[in-house]
Amino acid sequence: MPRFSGAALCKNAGSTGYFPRNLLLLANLPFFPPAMTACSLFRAVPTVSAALALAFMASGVHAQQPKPHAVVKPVVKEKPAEVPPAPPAADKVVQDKGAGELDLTQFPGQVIGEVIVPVPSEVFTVLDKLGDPDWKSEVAESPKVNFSDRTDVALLLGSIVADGFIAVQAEDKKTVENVGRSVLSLSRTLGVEKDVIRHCQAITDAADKANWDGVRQELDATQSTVRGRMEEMQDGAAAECISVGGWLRGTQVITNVIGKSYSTERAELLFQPDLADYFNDSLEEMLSKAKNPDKLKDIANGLARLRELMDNGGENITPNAVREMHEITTVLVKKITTRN
Amino acid sequence: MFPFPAPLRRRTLRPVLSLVLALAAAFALPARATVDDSHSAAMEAAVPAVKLGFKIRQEYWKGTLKSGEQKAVRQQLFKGNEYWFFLGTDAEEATLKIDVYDKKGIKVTVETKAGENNAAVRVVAPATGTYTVVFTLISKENAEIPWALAYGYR
Repeated sequence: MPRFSGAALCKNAGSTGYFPRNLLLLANLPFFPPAMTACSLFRAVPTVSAALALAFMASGVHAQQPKPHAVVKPVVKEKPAEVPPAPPAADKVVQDKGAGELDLTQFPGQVIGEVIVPVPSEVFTVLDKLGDPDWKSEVAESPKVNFSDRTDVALLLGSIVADGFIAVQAEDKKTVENVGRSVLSLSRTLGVEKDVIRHCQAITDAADKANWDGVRQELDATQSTVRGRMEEMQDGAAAECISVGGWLRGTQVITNVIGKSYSTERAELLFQPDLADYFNDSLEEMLSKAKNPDKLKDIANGLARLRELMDNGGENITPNAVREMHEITTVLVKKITTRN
Repeated sequence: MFPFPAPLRRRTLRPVLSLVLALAAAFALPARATVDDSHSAAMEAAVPAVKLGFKIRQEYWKGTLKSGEQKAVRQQLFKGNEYWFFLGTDAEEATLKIDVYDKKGIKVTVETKAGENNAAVRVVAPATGTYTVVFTLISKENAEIPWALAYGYR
């Protein structure tokens, strides 16, 4: 199931390619490595599309010329539209209640029910600010298990990508390279190897140069590319498993780190009940198709308990809750990374 | 099986195929470019943030809205992180408005910026939790206006 199923919304996982208005500008940005930018462009124009483009050019119609950059200016005050737009239907706009408040419960727009799942590095960025955890002790060897069911493979892939992030935190080159190899192998099983191979090479190259930010970016990109490709292959449910696997492994490690040096501030990082809900909802759809529904049922039950612990009636997340969350996620990650 | 002889079929199909390809290209390519230009517009708004060390997530979200309609996207934010959300559109002379609200509907926007066809909002999450990014596009054209939303964090 695509993360966003609304007709008007199509999540672009970065794998469908695009024609940036100014390629030079984007190529200079650190988040678009040159290879990725070039690959994105050429992937967007596979052979058939290239023929179409040639026919298009031959027809005398030219591609859009790059437009000058828009200048970003601070907003001084809200500028009314020069030409009055057609007034939207009254029931489609929630008025500000004043003092910057909006009644979200009355929001009639196309609210996207799901929550955007953060990338692991968002969480690690916060943890880095809160101290210098011993990440080396959290590094795990990549599991060596072969699955044939796509759901199992996707869960494992997500977990291994999370291992990659942890290895980056620990600045562990060898583990990062192993993660790259495992990701490639699992991508082969999922039929998306061709899309991932450049990321895996970039991960290894960046790790060689100790360019840890580069590795993080490529791990993000890998996950996003695989998810996007799987959604294109009408395999959105399995794509969601990648996020579930990554989130569980990340939560397992973070609860351990927080548990070792508890503070309410650190524990607040775990306040993610809507994500737990979202993943649980996603699993419902997969249960009917999975070859191994028991594993998914266990994960769903674990997520339900994690949600309770995370919410805690609005109170701080206690050390005991952190410990229990760690135990739950450890059991679930073991289910994901082992055959039995 | 075919209503005409094979040699004729070859001769006839080649120009027809070329015409179909050309027509398909004429209609398909701009459609793709239109939506992606919205992302490019959002990325233009992101340039200053990148220079300040924000990491931009590769994934982005896109769709279309009618003028004046609102859209909301829920997002998990973490206390301690700073975020920029970038909204872009390909529509000419569009006014974009974007704000971020906490679970109680209270605006948590710290700073907003607006460009020719993009807008951005900065948020320093006061608490870890789910926030709602609400945006709207206003244009003299009442047709579906393409939009793209991306974000960065540090």
